[in-house]
Amino acid sequence: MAKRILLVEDEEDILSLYKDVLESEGYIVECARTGIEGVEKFKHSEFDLVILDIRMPQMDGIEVLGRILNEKKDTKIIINSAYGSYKDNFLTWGADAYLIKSSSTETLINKVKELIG
Amino acid sequence: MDIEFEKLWRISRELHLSLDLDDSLCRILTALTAGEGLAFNYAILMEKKEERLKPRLKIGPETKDEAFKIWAEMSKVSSGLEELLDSCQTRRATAKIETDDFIYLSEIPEHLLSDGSIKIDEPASLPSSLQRFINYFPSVIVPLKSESGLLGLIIADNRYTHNPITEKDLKTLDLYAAIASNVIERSILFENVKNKQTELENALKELKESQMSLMRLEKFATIGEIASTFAHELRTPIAIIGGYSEKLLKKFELPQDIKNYIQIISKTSKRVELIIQNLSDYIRSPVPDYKEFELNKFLDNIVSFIDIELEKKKIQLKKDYKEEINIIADSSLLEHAFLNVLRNSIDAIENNGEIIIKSYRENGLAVVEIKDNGSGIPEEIMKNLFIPFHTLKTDGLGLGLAITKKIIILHNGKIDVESKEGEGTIVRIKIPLRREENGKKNSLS
Repeated sequence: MAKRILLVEDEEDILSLYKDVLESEGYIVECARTGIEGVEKFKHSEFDLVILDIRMPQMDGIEVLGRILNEKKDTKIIINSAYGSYKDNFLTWGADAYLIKSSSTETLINKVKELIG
Repeated sequence: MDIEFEKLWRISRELHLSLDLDDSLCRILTALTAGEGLAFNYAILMEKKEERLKPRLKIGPETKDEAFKIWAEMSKVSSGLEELLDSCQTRRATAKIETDDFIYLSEIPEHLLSDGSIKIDEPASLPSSLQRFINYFPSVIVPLKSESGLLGLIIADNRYTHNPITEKDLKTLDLYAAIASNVIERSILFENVKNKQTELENALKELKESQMSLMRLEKFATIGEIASTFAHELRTPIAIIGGYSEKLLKKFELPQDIKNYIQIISKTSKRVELIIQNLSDYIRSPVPDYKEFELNKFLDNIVSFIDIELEKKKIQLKKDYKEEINIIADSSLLEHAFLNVLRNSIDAIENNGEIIIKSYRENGLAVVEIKDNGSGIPEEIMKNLFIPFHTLKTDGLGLGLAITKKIIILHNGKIDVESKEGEGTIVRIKIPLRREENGKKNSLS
């Protein structure tokens, strides 16, 4: 069965790019354009993986991360951010991987495959 | 001593030719002792400094033998007064009196200083304080005065020829003192102006320098902050540009020329990303991860990263490893540091150049020299070599060497650069072999 991915990202162009790329890899992708929307969708649906941006309006990725972790689901989490500076601490936050937004989607795809197959 | 007015006028004209105080003082005593001048045998000039008189200059032979030898020689070469005065340029240093001795003005009877030239016939008529400076009699004391007061005094005598000092001589000396005083005052004024000018110039230079460093500091601080924000802000658009061009290439069967264009877009976005990475690396402060490795193998590995660039520019790379060197350092940081230096060398070479990598051990340090025969670094760039955002390149941020230096310093090492424009550059990096010598765990901030 196809794996389900929740993509939380406020940047429309990134969102559709990742959706497209991940779908062509055979994943089912659900999109959330704000942190609040992301948390709602996460609560009411089952996902294998969440890809989370950090800097978003209203509720940022770190808060989303905290709320997602509180749901105690066995979902893998990738933080995918333009901020390199948080990278050193991500393990203590409970995410499974921290990626810096890159000009190539290859790293992201590889990490997704590594975490959920 | 019969001296006509015309002669005095000629001396005056000669004395006024110099504006340098030492030179002027030497000229004054020289004219006083020259045969063509006032023809005294021996003369001392004492200068007034605050409330003291200090011996400053002396002209005249110390012994009778010396005196006659000099006069015999002078009569042979028969140089004129002008040449003799001009020779003060070279003689004045030997005429200088090096002493800490002085007399307080208050120790000297007023009439000796306020009246004109005075002939002293015997020690008894002198205060004891002056007797150490006047050891021949008769002597003449000539006060040098300007409108602002006493400048100093000249003591002169005819200790070898024993020529008498006449009333007429004293009158001539008064006239001479007026000329000399005028020359001295003029030189002092000029010297003051010159000192003030140097002071001003120094102050200006200092001001400029502090302004520059302030500007650099400010530039660095603000640009550092801005750069950090920029780096983050740019990553998303770059991810979009790079990501979509990648998708285009993968998803569609495109004609070759369009493919090429998109590849250029993709490549360029990677380049921008690398610049952002460099910037972030500089701003972030990595904690080094020290491990032992062999330096030459490590260098070989780095060279393999730049193979293509070397080939493209037809650059010969020569390795000159003196010995196996085991070193404890952070290899990924050093890799970054060395790559920056090597890339600079490649960029400095137009075509068909040569890069030599040399490694050896020296006093507990591993030394790596990277030498190229490229264009070299202009002097004005050399000064700011390790300061961020100074660069010759049009496509870089000028962070390469700044980052390199940070990394080397983090390892308690040293980096120095020798460069000649048009001939090439040598970058010498020295790193302690052992961790203990690397110091405690540093952070780059």
